[in-house]
Amino acid sequence: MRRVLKLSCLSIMTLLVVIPLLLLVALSFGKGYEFPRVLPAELSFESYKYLLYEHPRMLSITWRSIQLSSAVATLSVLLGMLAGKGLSGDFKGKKLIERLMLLPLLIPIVSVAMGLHIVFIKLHLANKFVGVLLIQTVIALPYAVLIFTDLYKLIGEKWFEQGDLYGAVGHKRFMYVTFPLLSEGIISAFGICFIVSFSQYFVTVLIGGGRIKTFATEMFPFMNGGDFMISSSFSVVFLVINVMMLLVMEVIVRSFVRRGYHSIER
Amino acid sequence: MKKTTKQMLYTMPAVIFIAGTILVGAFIAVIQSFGYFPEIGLKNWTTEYYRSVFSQPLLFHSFVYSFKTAFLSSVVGVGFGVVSSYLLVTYNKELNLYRRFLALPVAVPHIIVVVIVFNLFIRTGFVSRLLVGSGLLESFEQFPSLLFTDSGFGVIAVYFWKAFPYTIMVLYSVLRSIHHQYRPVSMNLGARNYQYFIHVVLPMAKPMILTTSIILFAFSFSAYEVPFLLGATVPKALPVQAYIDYTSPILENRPYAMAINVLMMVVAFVLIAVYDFVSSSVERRRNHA
Repeated sequence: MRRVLKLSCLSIMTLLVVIPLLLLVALSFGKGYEFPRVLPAELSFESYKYLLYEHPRMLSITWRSIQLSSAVATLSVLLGMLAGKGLSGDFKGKKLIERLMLLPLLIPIVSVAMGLHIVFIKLHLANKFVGVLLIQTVIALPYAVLIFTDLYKLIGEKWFEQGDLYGAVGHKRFMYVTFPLLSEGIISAFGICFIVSFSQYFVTVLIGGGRIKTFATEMFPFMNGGDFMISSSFSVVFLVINVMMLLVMEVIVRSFVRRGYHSIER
Repeated sequence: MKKTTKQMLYTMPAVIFIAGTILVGAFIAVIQSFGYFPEIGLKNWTTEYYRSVFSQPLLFHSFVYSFKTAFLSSVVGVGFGVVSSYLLVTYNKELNLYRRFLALPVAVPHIIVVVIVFNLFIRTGFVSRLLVGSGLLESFEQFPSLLFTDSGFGVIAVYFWKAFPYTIMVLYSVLRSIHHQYRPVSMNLGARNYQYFIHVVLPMAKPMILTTSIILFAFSFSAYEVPFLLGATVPKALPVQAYIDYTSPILENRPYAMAINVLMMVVAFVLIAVYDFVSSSVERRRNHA
């Protein structure tokens, strides 16, 4: 009896998550959603066609947006790897730096961005790709730092010492020791930072001055516009892009690691 | 070079990056809110903007609205999250599939969750259709307006849907290690299940629960997108109101926006202080043990 109760509690929670997601997909592929219908009358690609054809610049904006978020994620991973390496050890003032790294998660980014706007204008970073790249990296970076700090602590010193013993120094050390050990972290940090960047709206519009268009800024006006199908298909495309980027990154990192091992064998 | 210095140098690029943006941005917001804005010729330090902003009853309502939505969504979300992670831990064998599904919303960004909540709760949405279809309601006009109202339902629903899976993600492993260590001891001492949950699990997980709630609250208190899309026209959430003042064509209005921004940052700093206190008390306890 208790068991049944617990299982049904969990099932309800799971349904709370799954049903809305399934509904999102169903609506995006639907047509004919007159009021009392619970699900659309027929299967259709109409709303996807709308995204492609009614928005002539949609494809180029999406591509540009993927480039921007990949750049944000790459920069965050690089800075995060370094910071994680530093924070896994001990030094004076470490606590202060740890707190500082958490600041972007806790302080209102909206407020900081409005304060920063004038600095970006003076430095000619506003309304530019670089400016948006910088501000988005600030938001994504803490996630990368947290992941790499934990990972470095988990790995410990032993493998690096082992590598030193075998003469893996300089770029060889990075290629054959550091990179393979960190590969899981690189994949997940890149994925999280990409999603964080890809879903930014406010800072992109503020710092980009409306001139830097991303997938998120393009879909924003449709989000509460009343057309279930269009907003749902935007959302599905959004999620598919994020999942695909994660897979692409996984393939790239894995093949890089494998190539490293092959060259050792030779 | 000493090893510890080297360790610190590794963190410097990220430190410069974050300090250079966050601290500078916050600093400029503060000086502009006190009327120092030389770019448009305002050079007199004054508290006039604060006095005028705080004397508006509308701002008070905005504060209450933001606080209410952030507080309810994080408390209820974390509550659901704690209970479900406990259930997952106590029956962990065949429940991996549940855990997978419950992790999904963590990867779904807020603006997509806005679409999800809209699809479900707008007056002609999924829930209303279910109720009318099953004959519980006669028409959608009987379905209450839940979105775009000062109840904040839509905003709370979005943050809730994000909060409980996030809590599960953070808490699951913590609760599991507590469970493995202390469950046999508690049972041996004759605790019942609910006593074990209330007197052992909750107190031990309390610091994690608190820090998770703080992070969730801080985010939903100060994010722009969700209340802009699903919130009421009156009162507006604080970040939405701040941005309206910021984009006003009258540049002299900017300091009003900055006064609201500083208010939001003060709330954040209080939260950071609490976060710091909680996490350092955990470390102290760990050092004693």
